[in-house]
Amino acid sequence: MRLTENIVTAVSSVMGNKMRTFLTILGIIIGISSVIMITSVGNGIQTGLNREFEKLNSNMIGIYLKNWDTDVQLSDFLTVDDVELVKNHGNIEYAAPTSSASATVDLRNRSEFYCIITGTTADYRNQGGLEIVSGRFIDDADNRSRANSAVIDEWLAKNIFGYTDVVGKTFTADFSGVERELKVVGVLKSEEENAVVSTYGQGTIFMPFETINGYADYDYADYIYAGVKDTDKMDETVEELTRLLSIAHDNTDMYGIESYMSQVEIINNVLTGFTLFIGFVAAISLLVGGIGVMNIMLVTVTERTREIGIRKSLGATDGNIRVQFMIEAVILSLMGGIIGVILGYIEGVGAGMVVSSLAEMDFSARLSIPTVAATVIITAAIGIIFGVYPAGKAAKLDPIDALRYE
Amino acid sequence: MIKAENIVKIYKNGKLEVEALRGVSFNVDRGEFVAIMGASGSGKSTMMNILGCLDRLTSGRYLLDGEDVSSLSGKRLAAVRNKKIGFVFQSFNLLPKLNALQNVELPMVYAGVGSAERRKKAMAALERVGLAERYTHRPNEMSGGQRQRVAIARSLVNDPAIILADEPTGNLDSKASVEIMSIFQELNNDGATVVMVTHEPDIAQYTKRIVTFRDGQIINDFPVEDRLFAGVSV
Repeated sequence: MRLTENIVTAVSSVMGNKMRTFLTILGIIIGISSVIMITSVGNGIQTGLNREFEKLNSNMIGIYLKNWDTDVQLSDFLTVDDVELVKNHGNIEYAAPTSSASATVDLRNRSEFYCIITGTTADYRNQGGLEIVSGRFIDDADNRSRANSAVIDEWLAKNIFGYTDVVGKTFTADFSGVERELKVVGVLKSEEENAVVSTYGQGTIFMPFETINGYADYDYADYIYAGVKDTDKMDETVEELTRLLSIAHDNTDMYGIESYMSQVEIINNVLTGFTLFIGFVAAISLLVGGIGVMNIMLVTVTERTREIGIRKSLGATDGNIRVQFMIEAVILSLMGGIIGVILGYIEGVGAGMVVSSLAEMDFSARLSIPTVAATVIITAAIGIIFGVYPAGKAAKLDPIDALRYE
Repeated sequence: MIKAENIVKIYKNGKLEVEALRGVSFNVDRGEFVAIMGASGSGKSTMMNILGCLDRLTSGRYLLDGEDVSSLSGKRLAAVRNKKIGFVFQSFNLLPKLNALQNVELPMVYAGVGSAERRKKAMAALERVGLAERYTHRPNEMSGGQRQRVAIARSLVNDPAIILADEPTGNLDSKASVEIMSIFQELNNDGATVVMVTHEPDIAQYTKRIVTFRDGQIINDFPVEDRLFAGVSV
């Protein structure tokens, strides 16, 4: 018979009372659709973010003095010697120091623009994300001669000079009371307004590291950016560099090395954890949904007591009856699950569009096939688990009593 | 067909023990048409339930078509009900959501018969009771007499050893009752063994033998005199 017959019987029984069926599986629909929506939105955000992160060189690391609370001494600060030390490591491709200074610049519209100037070296270009539209970046000659060269972005060029083709032009910047004349040697493409990850924002100025340090009579680097050649050896390289730096400065545990890779990992993990947690909470409503199915199945069994008696008198075994009602419970749950997945996907797409427009990025929801498969399996399991009790009750009915039931 | 040997049935009603059958013995041969009569509480319904393998006897033996069914497992009993017994109930007991054809097919579904053969046999059974054109109708679209005819068709499909009818005319008017008895007589003429419980003496006159119960025992067992013939041909 029996499986196809049972399925046909169960489906016609379930469709026989559509309103009741709908109300029964509503709990499961809500639970599943919530889980699907949340996981697909979370998935979409993760995919979108990863896409953004890929713009950066994922092999980049940043070295900095991390331990500020103990008795920090000048000898602990990072210097250009450390840059050389890092560069000499076998697994390092390039290394550039950065330091910063603040200055105000007069814009065309007479307002003052406060900006942070980053001082760095030619190697800084290797980290990617910098698009020179005219001129050049800072070079070694600038650093050797402590030139007052500046690389500015298109936005700043427009706002100081009125147009972007400004290589060779000069402008004045006020460094805490000291006015200096800076010469533009290069113009950068302005970063999009809303990139999640940007290496610089609007109104960026790069100058030679030595020049900036010279202004402040400061000999140190706030940060050292370096590029790793073989990212499989990332962890070892980080360890070795930490050790080398500690030896050079005769200190311990003073330097932090972070990689964008690990940051991406962290963010991914956070997102995954968050998604899972919310999904878990939503899954609890699945439990309630399953109880709903069980309750209605119990009512159904009672309502169909007479029918069960008739079937048994015609030769149905206890097992036949049990299977009949179990299949009905599973079909109910599966219906709820499938509708829930479809509804959840629609909701996810909608929510994804909202999130994308708010963030002004592509965070469109993504359905993951494993999640859908797991959902289908879980709903079938719910049908089985919550169908056992009612199906058992039905199976154990005494035919004579059942036939007498009004 | 039926050999009942000293059947005793005791019900436990809480602490009370009720002796519904106190040692009943009788035989029914193939092709007989037996009416079981008696007042309520006489044990006739209990006898029917035991004959129909819906209930188990407390002691004694019951052989159906040569097989001792007294000690069969629940699963085997279900198979016996399915293959050897055709039930006809007072209140028809058709499944309301299924149409006539599906109702008649139901015993074959449990017997594992394929759908093409099921349909063939079901239609043939419906023809026999004169309801072939109504095979798509649901029970609520039929009169009482028609419903009972569908029930009779259902009882035939697995070619049972006996047809057991429990007050088959109890819910029917006199005209329909006669129609039903006519069908039973036809079936019996064609070789079916029919055992019927009734409390109406008029109806019992259509059968060939009357067994009377009282207080859980058979007090009378004789052939029918002045038998009635329904003669209504369907």
